[in-house]
Amino acid sequence: MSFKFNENLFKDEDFNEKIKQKLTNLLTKSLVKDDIPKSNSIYYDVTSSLNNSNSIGSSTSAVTTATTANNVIRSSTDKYSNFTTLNNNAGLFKTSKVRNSSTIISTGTNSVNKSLSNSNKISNFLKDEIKITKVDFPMIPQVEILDMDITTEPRSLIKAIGNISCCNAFIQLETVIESNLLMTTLQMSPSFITPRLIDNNSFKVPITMTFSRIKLEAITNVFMRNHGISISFNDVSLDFKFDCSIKILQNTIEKKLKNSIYSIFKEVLPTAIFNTSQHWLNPNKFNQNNTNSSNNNSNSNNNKSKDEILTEINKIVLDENDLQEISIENMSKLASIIKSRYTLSLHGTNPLISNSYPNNFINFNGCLERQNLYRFISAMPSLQNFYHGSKSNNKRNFIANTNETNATRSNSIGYRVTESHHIKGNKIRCTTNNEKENYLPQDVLDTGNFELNDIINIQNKLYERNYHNSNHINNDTNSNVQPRNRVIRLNKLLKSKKNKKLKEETKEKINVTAGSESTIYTRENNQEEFFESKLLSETKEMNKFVDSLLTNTVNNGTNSEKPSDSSLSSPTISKSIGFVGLNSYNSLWGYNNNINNSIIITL
Amino acid sequence: MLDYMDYIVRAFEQQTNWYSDNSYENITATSRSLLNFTIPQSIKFQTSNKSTDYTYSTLELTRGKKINGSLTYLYTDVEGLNKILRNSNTIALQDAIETYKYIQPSFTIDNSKHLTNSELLSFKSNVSNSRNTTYNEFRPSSLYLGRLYYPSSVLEAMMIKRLSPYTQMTIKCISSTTRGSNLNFWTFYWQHYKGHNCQECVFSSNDGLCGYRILHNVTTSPSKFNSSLYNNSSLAVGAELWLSLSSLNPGCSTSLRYCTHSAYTGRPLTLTFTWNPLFGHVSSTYSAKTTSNSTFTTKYDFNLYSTEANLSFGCEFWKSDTLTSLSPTSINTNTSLDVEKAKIKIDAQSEIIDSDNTNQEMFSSNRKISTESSIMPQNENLVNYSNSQQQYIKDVTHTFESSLIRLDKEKSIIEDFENKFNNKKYSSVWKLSTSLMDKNLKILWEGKFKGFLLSAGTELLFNRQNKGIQPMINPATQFGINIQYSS
Repeated sequence: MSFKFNENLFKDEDFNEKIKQKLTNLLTKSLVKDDIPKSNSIYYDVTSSLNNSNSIGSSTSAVTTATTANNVIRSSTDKYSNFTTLNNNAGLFKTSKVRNSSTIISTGTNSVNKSLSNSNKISNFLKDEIKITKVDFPMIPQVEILDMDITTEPRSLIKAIGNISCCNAFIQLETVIESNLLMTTLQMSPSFITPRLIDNNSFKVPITMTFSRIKLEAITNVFMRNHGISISFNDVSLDFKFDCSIKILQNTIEKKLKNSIYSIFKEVLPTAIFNTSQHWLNPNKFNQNNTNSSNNNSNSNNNKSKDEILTEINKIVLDENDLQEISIENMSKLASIIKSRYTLSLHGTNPLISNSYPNNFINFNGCLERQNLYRFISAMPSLQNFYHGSKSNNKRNFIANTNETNATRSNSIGYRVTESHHIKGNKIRCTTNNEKENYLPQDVLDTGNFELNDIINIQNKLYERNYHNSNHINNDTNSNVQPRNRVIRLNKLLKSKKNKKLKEETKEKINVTAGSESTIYTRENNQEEFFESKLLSETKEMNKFVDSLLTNTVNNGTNSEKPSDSSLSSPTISKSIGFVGLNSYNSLWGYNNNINNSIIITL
Repeated sequence: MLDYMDYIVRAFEQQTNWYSDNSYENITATSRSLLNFTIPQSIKFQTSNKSTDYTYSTLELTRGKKINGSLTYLYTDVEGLNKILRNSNTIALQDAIETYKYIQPSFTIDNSKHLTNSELLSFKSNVSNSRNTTYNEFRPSSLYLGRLYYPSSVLEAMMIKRLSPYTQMTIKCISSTTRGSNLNFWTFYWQHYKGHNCQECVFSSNDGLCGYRILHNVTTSPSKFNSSLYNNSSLAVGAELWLSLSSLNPGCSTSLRYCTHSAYTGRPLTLTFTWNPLFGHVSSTYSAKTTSNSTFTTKYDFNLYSTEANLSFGCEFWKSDTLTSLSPTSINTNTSLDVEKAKIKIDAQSEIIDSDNTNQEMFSSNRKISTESSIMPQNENLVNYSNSQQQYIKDVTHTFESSLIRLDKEKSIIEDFENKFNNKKYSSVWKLSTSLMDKNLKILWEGKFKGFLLSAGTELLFNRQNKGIQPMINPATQFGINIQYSS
């Protein structure tokens, strides 16, 4: 799967202008921040750590490293949009606003600088702001997802391997440097021991550096966790042609640049992306996470100076303003992917649902890519299905089935109780459609053919599902937490001792395997009993079984009216118990005698 | 204003006949003192004390953002220092302030040495100069200085040692134990002055900086082609080379200095020309003492590579205490209030006479004889000559009479002017300096007030970046006052 950036954007001249402006702003921003009159060195966080000596080459290369850092970051935006595409795959539309243009690192104030300035090791050689004069990206950077793994545990973790490539880019920058480094050195040293030089004036030289034919290819590992994206670069090959207006310095700078690229890819970029993703995904927790991550970093590094550097890096945050737009092409592509994919979970893949929960990023939990999955979900386990599957009575009256009504029913006309009455404030998707309400057919009641255990089983399943769904909705971040073995509170509803005993039975049944479900099957068609045996055999043979189910429902569909797409319900999957729900029924179920099949599979 | 310890170091050099003016380091001292004078940045109070003839101490308190202080102790074993040192009450202001430097022509210094060594024998009877005897008796002398800053606990130490009549060694150290900063550096100077060359080798452990500088005095004898017979001008050429070993940063420059006097007014002029071949930087200065109360300097900087140019302008105005000022002739009559000072002046006078004699010796023997009117010993020589010879001499004297008169006249004008400045009692001085590129105006006032030496100054920055030409004054960092008292 590969993604392309908006082609028009790259063809547009504004793009280059924008990048030029952004880079210039970035590079001068740190100048302004750190600029304290005289004797204070201006350095970039990253580069100061990389260049320790005072030589002409190293100092000027500090400038260039900073800019290449940006350059690289520029191409790292490719990665960034890659992430959004990942997000989009999972069905998150609203929040994934990413423009594939340049992103900016904003550097924090440099405390390392101040500590080092005492030891006179850093000289102030930058005399002017750094200007980006030319930017050109003739080729569109490409992002290719080589592999993606979303089935890993815990579910909130996504792993992917991506390939990023960008070539023929061109960046030119200009600045003014102080070439008389002896002067800058002596200015920093204490005057008492410094010999006085007669003509040691500053000599400012404008310098132009050109990076042409920038070619980047990188294989990346991508991890997406609850509140952050982390990338590791495995195989980076960055090649560029470097041209400097001062030829003496060219080799030195180039050498230094190539040396520092390693650390940019290993430390700077991943941290920047991670911080940004944190900032972006949950702004409330950003600060907390930031400190956490810095702590982690500092713990992992015993070296003090490295600590400081890392904390500096931690301050790097990509500019949020750049994430406001997204390529239309990519978006439509992603939309089509999502449309074409209905997962077993289905919860969260529905755009409407994620709209109602814009910050819900965990909705793609356990999604599996299956085509035509809607066939499986067309049936829900419910009382209707159950009893009409076993007994095809054709009575018009039905009584709503709750446990309570079961105990104290007096009306001939039932009232329906949606599951939302059980769990306050939670939407239950399987019951939002009126046509899918959980009714007990009246004829069943009349004839007294129902068994309380069966009803409780069915109700428990529904409850389980909804409970976990609601958990996902409410507590995104807690999705890793294993749901405890749920005891369904039937006490309120079933107050008799008999029912209490039943409750214990249901408790067992929640935990049991398909064996207990088989009792449901026994009431169904002979044809489905055939499947039952399969179900009991192995869960590994799920795929085969699903296929055979497909044929089954198709066969059933010939007998009954096929459900329309609009009436599809989406059974939800809980954490501990995975369901594959298969329901097919008529919307006019209560009045017709159509054959209803319901199969409940416990994985 | 000179720091008290700097003042002592200067006196030490004077007493040991070390001419720091002939160091390449001070080749632009005049323009530097007029253009790049330091402005006090805080309130500083300094009290100094001469505890014995050989030990001196200074206590300094500085009120910047917080109160800092320093204690300085100095020991020297040179004799006679107490004779030339003055306390803040009696010191002449021009001695306590860096100002226009009268460069003694190198041959005047050299000749006194030469006289002692080789050629003096024939003239020994002519001039009995007490100064010359001191040259003969060179005694190795040294100076030790230690300064402790608190609360920052920075220690500075300096040692100056005269190893031979021609060499001087200086070691400076700085040590700081404050956390984080690793300030332990030392700098070593080895200076050698012989013949017409002053050579210096410098090594600093800071950044491994090592350097070599040389100053060569071109005019080794009074000019033969100058229309002015009395020639007090000097031309010096120098160069320096620097390389910091750890970072391989090079530095070099070459300079030329020409000092002369205006023939008619006797006012001194100094011209310097400096060129840095590495960075293509050229600067030239022109300093003139227009009157005894004012000095003007201009400096023009130009970079050959970047064509960047800068013009600086500086001036100073001395305000004299008219009541106590000395007349030019008062030196000879010893009527000055400062008797010891006058003595020094006489010494200088005799030195000049001494050098004058050598000048004449170099011209011709006739010339020597012709100066009989001014120098008594030569009259004695005349007695021994025969009549014909005397007649011949008289003819020659008559021939050169006009020029000799001119020479005396020029000489007296120049010396008068110099003495006028040296013996005037000034009460205060204003220093102004501005630079076109920096767009600043530095103002410094220095003066004496009831036995205290005061120095106050500020710098006004006219920065275009701050919208318009509104002067942006930053008094916190740019304004300060120094108060100095020494006893």
